[in-house]
Amino acid sequence: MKKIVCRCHDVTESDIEDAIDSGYDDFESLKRITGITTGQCQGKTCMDLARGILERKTGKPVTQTTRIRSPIDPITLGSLVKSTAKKK
Amino acid sequence: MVDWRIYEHPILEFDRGEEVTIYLDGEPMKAFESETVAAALYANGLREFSKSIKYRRPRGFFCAIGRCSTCMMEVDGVPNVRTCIVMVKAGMRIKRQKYLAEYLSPILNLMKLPPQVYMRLMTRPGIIYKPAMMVMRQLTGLGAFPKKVLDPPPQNQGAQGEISTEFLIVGGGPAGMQAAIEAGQRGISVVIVDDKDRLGGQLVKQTHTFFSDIKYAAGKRGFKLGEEMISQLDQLPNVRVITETSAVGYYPKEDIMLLKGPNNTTLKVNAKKYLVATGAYEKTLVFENNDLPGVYGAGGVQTLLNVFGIKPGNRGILLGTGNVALMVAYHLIQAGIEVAGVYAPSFRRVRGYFVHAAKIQRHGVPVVTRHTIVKALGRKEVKGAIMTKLNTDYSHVPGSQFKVDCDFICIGVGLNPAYDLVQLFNPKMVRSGVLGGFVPIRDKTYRFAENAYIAGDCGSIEEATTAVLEGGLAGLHVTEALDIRSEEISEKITEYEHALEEDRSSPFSAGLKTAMNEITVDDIMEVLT
Repeated sequence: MKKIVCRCHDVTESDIEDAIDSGYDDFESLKRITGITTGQCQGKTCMDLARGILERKTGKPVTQTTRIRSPIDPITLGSLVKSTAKKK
Repeated sequence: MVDWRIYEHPILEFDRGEEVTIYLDGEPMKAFESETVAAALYANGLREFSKSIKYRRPRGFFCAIGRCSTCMMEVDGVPNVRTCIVMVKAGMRIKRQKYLAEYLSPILNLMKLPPQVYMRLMTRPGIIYKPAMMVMRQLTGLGAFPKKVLDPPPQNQGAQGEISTEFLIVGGGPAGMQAAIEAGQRGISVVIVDDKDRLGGQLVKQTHTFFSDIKYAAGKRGFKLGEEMISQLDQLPNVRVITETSAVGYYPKEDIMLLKGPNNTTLKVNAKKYLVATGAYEKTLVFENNDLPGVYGAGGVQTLLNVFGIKPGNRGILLGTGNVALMVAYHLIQAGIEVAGVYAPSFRRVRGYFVHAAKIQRHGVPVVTRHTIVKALGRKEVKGAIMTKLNTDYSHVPGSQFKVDCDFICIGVGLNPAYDLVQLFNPKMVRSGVLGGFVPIRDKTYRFAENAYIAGDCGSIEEATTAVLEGGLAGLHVTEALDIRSEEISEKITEYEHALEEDRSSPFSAGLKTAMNEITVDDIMEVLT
């Protein structure tokens, strides 16, 4: 039975615990190795849960959020580029 | 045909608009114009909206307000549409994104790949990357690319706009609306954006009365308060309301906020002052099968129930004894849905107001502390829950497990301030347990960055009434910062501050006041440099 932490990438509690045990015991490394906070929802569900697991396992408080960059919501590439259709 | 809609409710009347037909995988379904696609499908009995990307687990919607990612489907040929924030249109064609994964999942489930392998699979060599991605995309159920450009393209498809304004407010909840009202009444040109189809934020689903004695909210039901604020905004010609549009980025160098509207439209906004009033995200819990359709956020259940008038199930349990959980339990009872119990891991007595707890206990619903959930039962949707008693160190009491029959589980364990848009302004963030999570340091005028202000739950998790007051204050401070000053404004500020002080003076808020003082500084620019 799985305990899902990140719904976007299907990362389970044991995936995160394993990663911490392998030495990825700060939030930024954990994010890079498991893919949490990088799915379609950009960490809205998993960030808090993963932080809780990390704190429980390492006993150290996590005092920083992960770096946030634009765009924070999924957007199509098509809506960002200018249409060239009229110039033809 | 199954229909989960509520047609008789003691307090609410649901104006559903015209009845239309939509198609799920070709099958016609009854829907109403005022519903989102997800709500309409849920009302027709659909519980599984998508399959998860890696283990192909069934997923229902969770938040119902466009925050999570589990309700994505193909709508009119466009894949990965968040069905919970897209409105129903007559003849809409919705498809489940399943493809190959459906047939291969038994085999794939046998190959238990560790996450590291999964994340890096098939990225090199470059030659096989493209075909490999095609296969992967099919496997994951991420949806197929549209076969051709949609024909004919919907109106305004892809339109890109640019505007500038004096004051841009992101978030049309109580805080954002009150800020727009206060600034708008004093002649500031205001743009207020929200990602839903209507303003009001979470007020739209609050059917209970606020008992704070603030004159702005006292004795009003939440949704009525929201309606009043909307009609006040309607009377202000200098306030422009943009709905179904969300902020996707802020670019400090260009001083531009990028907004995303429906049909792939974008809007670049340059404003003299920005207000972030984006609210909060729901916290959730880690337990076995916590992603099963039927496990919902309390806010999601409230949306279904009070906005769309749709029953989330026949019998549910609530996790958490904060005000949100107690309130949702009461809303469920109001709508005639059985509540099997309200359970919470906390050791204190009920965390929320005693009045709310008493109200639901009168209806025979047990409110149980020192208990937590171990497992959600069911394969395709929730069929029950295994609960356990807790020791004082939060370990499970052996042998204390018991089963509760229910068809939905509602998690109301608290809120996290929406930290993401705030952080794009490069503020100084601090973590505060009392305030709910990471919040920016701000000054007494609610300014947290050079040109940005904050109000409501995204700055500190409190209530709708405090959000109104903070919003009002932020709106007035922005007005002053834009060089409109008068005696009346300073009086109003004092009035708001007094009300806020009073609102936070209850014994419940003792820690809150200290926490607020800790994150409020005299000179914000000094902190930032």
